[in-house]
Amino acid sequence: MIAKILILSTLNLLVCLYAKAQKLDKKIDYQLELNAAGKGAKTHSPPSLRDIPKGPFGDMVRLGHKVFTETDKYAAPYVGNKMKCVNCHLNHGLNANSAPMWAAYGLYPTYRKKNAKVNSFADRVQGCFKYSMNGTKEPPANGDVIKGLMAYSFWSAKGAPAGVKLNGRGYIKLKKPPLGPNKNRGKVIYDKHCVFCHAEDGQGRVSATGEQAFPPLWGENSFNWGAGMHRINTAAGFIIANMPFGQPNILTEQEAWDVAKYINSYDRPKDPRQKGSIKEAKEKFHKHDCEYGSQN
Amino acid sequence: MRWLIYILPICLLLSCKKQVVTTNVKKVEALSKKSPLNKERLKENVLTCETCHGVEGLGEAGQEGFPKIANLRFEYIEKQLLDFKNKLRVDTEGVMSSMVEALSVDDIKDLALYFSNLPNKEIKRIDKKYDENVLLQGKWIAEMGLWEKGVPACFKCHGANAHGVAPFFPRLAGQHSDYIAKQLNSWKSGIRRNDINSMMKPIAVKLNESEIHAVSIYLESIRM
Repeated sequence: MIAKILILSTLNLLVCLYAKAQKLDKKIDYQLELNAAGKGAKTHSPPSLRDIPKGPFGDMVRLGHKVFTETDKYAAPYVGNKMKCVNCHLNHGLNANSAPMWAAYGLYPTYRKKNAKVNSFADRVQGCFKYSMNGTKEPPANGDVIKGLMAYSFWSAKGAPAGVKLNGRGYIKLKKPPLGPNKNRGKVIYDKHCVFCHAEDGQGRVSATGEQAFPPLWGENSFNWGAGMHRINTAAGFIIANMPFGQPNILTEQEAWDVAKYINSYDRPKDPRQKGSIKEAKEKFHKHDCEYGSQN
Repeated sequence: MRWLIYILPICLLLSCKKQVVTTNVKKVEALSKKSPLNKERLKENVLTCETCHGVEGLGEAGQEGFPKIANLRFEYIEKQLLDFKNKLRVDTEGVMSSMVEALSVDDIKDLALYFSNLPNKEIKRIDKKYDENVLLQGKWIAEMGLWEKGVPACFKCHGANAHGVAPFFPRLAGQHSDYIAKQLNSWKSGIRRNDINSMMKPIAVKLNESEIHAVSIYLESIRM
């Protein structure tokens, strides 16, 4: 009897310890932060890229995939910098916490404060070209660029519920760091972790065959001041779960904030919505966590 | 006198090889901002390297994994040689460390200059027929990655078709598959750890034997 009690209590203790370990694990599992939405937040596993169907629909999906991964080649007239969709949406736009296309697709149409109208998915993607790709003209909603990207996103969302905020959508929302983001500390992080791919001048690196292998993070060939990634908090959320490339989650939250601040402290193409002075544009569009106009 | 029949071609071959090296040293000198410190020493060193790395640095196929070093970037060759010298990179047999031990930092610079300026010729392949399925599997890993295991595509860092991204990401296209496989296994086991910011280790540990084989074969098969 005593032995039985002993065994049971040991087991109980082990279960408690295990549960505690699990809880601790969750604390550093940044993906779980998103569960703030409450229990039952659904996740989604996209189909394999090997399983894109044959036929005309599959062809459109494949074209979308090309646009997504080689945007400079397949959507050239609409790209005003040296970025590609896949630079901010890793793993062909399929990774959780990397603003995956499968999580975005089912959330449109929706009302967006950014332009104060109901946006279709096509509108939203056109917005990406306007800001993140710094394009001077938007790809037509009915053209193959948008249609391809829509087909690709739709395909990747196969089986996902519509109108549901899926776990892993967008980028992780980090809590404000104990120390305010600091660009000098950020530079130290940059020099240690980022410089090999993005270079000292932040302009990325070009391959032996002339293609932009790593994207520019600031300057005229990067995303403009209207893109989501210019916000320190968005960039920090992207960085922590996706950078350094192939080594996610190795930076601390503080380091992610600091390096995001450093990267976004440099100048970049102006916000295309800016009509008058920087000051006016800052007042109207940039009353958030960003460095708009601090370079001037 | 019959021995002459054997000796003469060998001498001829050796002198030809020396001639090639001499011409190459001249070409490299013309390209270099500073002339090699000691041309004679460079020639000697080049001949030593080429004993294993083949004529004109094209490497040798085989289990030992003698890589093609011709036309790799100056910075890359220099770093590898310095790392061997400083024991930051160790090869299983310890051959490179002992070879590099006697080299000065200037010798290393000259050698890096020499081999980085050699033409990018195709290697000789032992087995010219590749298994189609292995190639397809390797192509997928190199081009698309195995993200389900957290393995990004080789091309993401080593450039389109793995022709390299200067100065830190070497060309893998047309490299000997034996060498590539050996390096992936070395990162995996921890023998090799001189990759910048440990970039390769987390990738290599996620690849299994057949994936390492397939990706190495595919990378070797990429033409210029």
